[in-house]
Amino acid sequence: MPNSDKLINERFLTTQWSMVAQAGKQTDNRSVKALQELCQNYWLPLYAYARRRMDPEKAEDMTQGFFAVLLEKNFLETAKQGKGRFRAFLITAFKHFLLNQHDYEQAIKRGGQTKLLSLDFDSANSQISFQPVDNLTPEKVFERQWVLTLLKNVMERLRIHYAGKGGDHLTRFETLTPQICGEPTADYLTLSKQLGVSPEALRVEVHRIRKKYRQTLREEIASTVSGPDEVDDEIQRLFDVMA
Amino acid sequence: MPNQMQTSEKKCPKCGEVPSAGFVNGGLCPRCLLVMGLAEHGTTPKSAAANNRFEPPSPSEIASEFPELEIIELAGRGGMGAVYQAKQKNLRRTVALKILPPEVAANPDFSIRFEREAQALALLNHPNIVQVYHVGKTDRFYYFLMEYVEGVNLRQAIGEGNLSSEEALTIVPQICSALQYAHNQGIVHRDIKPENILLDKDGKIKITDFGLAKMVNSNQGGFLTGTQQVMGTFHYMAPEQLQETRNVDHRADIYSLGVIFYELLTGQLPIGRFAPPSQSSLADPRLDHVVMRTLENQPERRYQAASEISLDIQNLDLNRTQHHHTPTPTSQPPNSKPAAPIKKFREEALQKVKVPAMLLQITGAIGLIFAAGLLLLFLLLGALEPSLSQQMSRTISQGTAGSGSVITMTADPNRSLSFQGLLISFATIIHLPICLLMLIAGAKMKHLESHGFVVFVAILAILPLNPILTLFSLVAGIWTLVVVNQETVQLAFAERKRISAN
Ligand SMILES: [Zn+2]
Repeated sequence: MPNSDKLINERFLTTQWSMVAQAGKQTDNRSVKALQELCQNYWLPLYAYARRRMDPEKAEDMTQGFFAVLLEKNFLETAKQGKGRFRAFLITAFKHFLLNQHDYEQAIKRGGQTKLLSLDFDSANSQISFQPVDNLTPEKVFERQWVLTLLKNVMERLRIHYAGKGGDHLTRFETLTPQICGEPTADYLTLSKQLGVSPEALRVEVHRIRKKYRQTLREEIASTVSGPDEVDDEIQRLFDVMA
Repeated sequence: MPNQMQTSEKKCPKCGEVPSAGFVNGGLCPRCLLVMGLAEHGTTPKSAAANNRFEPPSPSEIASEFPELEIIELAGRGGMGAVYQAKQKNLRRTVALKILPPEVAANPDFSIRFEREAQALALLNHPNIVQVYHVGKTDRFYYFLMEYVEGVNLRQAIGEGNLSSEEALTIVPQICSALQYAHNQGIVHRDIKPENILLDKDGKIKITDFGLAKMVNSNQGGFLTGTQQVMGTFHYMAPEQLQETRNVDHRADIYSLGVIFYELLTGQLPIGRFAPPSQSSLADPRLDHVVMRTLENQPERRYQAASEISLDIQNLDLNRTQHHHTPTPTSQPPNSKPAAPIKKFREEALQKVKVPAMLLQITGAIGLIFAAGLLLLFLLLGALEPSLSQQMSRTISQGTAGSGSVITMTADPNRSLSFQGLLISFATIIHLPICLLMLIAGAKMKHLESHGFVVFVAILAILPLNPILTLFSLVAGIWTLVVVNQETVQLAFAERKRISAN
């Protein structure tokens, strides 16, 4: 059973951000790696924020430059100001960075060459199409994109999980994805025929997928806050963001 | 796929909102996805978790007390303890470990009751009862080691809204069978409720927590008090269970079963002065007396044995509707595993409804084209009219000079005008709306929606209001009426209505 494996992975995930935040000034390899991974997963909302404030070219430069500074230097004092959440830290630190651009000119120039993160701006641009009419503040754009990115990461982790199980697990997961929210008009009969299982087995399968989804979402969120007890509160905040 | 923000006005089928930032992964509503992640959405219903002061220990916290088990995860919790999924190291089988809250065990009488009852529970062996392998006590907990059932409980199944009334009729006899078996052994469940009825992936029922209520409560009446009382549970309790002075026997279980039966059929609890199931739902009226007899306030007036209930259900021959469309004409032998619920009738109904629905639509469409043609004709004639009348007045003024034949000419256009008027009023007042209704009814019928409306339009189509399309609409109307009044089709309409009402 991959259980022990899973547990290690979970523990790593849940402590990811708290580990980084506690490490503060001194860098140890593990926390640098954890931060790198977090940034790789959540750079897009920041870029969306930048796009809302400046032209695409500059937004790219600033995003690159910011992560270069963040990952190379010890920008982590700011982590303490962010208090708690990676989300809050990231946006606070980025604003600080933009305010003090001249201090970081070197980093911004070097940003283009840094290979610490692979930032695919082309794909990013296709994902953050905000409407000029929607009048959202850059902060709001950041927060919304954060939720979308978070959920996308969760779905991606689920996909990997089910793909790893082999067989038709992935197909079943993909077919039943719309059921995660519990669509009330779901036609279980058609679905069960489609998947070649009985409606009862289907119900169990949906239940399992939901459980796995919930667990994955909570893990993912836990990796961005300072403790598992903050997960429900963070969910509530993200929910309000999407209102 | 990129989760593009979409500007479309598509609503989330769950919450009914249009997600302001678009859908994730093609169709998932971000808000609903977030809500699903809340802890309270977990494996236990909200009320149970909220009222339960017992905080289940984590798997690692109890691991040392169960060295022969590998505790995998907390699978559920309720008023009477916590259940973990575990693996027996020596047998390599997955089991469910239930531990009772320490405050239960703190009751001085408990150990006596536990020892007296537990062995009898372990002896219960029935396909519809969760098998108890072992009961025991560690330093901190009384525990049960039980068969692990992968599935959902009936509460969750009801909550997901995908149980059909046919499924209800396969569930209830299984509960009866389990109850009858246990009652024969002198064991009363005392806490039959949807949370204690598990539904495995083959659609098989497994009742859990037999006799636990009696063990946990010193009170002979079986009324749960204090922290063990989970809100809402008492809805399933027999009246005599709520009166502490009365003795409780197996007929209390029969009452609880009746509550579940009622809920399965109607989606409501039988509270206060409740109507028979067929009056508040589309349940078969023949079931009414069965359900009502399980819900009698006086135990003496109830069914006296669980097996009588399933016998009565069987005798109603509710399967008749199934018989003439299941491929095997032979009825189920009594010992075979209960038939997996057949939702086939929906598909069959869809098939049956297809052709008459199409005919309704075609007739409606042709009629509409006709009506449009007539209107066009009128407009053209209307356009011609002024020149016509000019000509006529000229002829008349000429006629006064000599010729007398003009009088017949003036009469002609007048008559053609009134004929046009007739056609137009016919087309617009009667013909057009009927055709429109037929189009709509055809579309509704295809999706098994709005039974009454479809019947109404079919009757309209048959009435000789529609001379142009008489043959067509007669056939469409009669065919529709015949199909729509078939039992299976009616059921399918009802089912569809129930699902959309949820
Ligand atoms: Zn929604």
